[in-house]
Amino acid sequence: MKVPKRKLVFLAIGSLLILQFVLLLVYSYLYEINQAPFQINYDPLTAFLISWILFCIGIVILITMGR
Amino acid sequence: MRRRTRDLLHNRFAAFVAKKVVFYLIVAFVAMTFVFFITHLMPGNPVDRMIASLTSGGPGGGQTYLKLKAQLMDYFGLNKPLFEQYLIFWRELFTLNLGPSYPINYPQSVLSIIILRLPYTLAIVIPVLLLSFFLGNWIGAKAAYAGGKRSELVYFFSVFSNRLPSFWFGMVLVFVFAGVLKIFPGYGLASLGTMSSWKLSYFLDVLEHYSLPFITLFIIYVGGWATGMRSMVTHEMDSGYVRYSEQLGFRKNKLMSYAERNAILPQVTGLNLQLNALIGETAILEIIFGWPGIGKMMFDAVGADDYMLIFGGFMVIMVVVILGNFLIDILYGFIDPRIRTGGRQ
Repeated sequence: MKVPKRKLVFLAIGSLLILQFVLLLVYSYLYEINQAPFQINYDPLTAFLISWILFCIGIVILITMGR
Repeated sequence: MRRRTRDLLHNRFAAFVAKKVVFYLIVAFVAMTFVFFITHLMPGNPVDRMIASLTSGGPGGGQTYLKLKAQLMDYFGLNKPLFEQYLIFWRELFTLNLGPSYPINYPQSVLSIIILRLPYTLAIVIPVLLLSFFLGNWIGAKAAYAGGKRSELVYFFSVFSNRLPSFWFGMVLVFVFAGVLKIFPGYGLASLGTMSSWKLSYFLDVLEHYSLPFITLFIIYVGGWATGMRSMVTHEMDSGYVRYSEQLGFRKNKLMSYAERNAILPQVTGLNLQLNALIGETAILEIIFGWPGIGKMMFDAVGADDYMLIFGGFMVIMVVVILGNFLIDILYGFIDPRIRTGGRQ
């Protein structure tokens, strides 16, 4: 079955938006156990909130356009 | 090139977008003018507040006080005629130079405070709007298909949750979940004594504090969407094209998808209205839950006669509302092909 190109693009965008939030949580876990591979010089809370907003947008994109 | 320009001018969707842009620019102009004059006609003076906070007491009197007041009025440009202040305000607004926040946060710039606070408000508004829209519409559509008692039950709970006043419902949830059950914290951004860091435990702590304002608005808005969608799908399922397709032997899932697509259009139009209402309700809930977003910032600014912070707050809310409405208008064009392809041969 051929998947339309537009659908694939939305699927990719939605997945990336979800992935960035997962990565942020993984990074914060590694940071907590002092195993973070690098330092991020940005306000943690702002980064977390923006990441959460993007995560929600990603879920919506996946549900609506990537189905 | 000329043909493309001509096509663009004849494209109804382009004309629709252009009309919206002009309309929203007028809305922005009128709203900012109102905000300027309302705040300047308010009783009280930010300079008096500033002197009071500097001297840890009342405004006092005497020559020193009057001299200091005159100097500060001159420094902040408050002794100029109101219309001149209005023109200066527009000049500063276009250069995004909103000046310092005074008297409460002096000498922090208004823009830096707003940039810091905006993600807190958006972190509630955007997820609540998007997630409640999808869950509410899904619940409403399922209820309409199910029919009978289940549909009535969903309708009852949807109307009930949608009609709850957010400030009251928020306090009820604080009482139940924070006071009695002690599952969620009821106030603030994070537990007392915690420092902002990249630790997972800190993020989880913030999420715990975020839960109650989010749940409050989410329940209210899910109800609203579910009520609308249930009615719309019920209406669509009764329409001629669905009945005809049914007679032709279309599968039930296909019929549902047709009905749902048509039923969602008025719901998308409703997104504009809900976004506007949601921003207002979020501002109130921020005060109740101590969530440090734009709403709480403006509440503090109004109490302290901080003109520029009030302007900044209103400006940001206005930009968010206008941008949101504009995006929803464009989205509507994409969802409804009649608007997108209108005028194209």
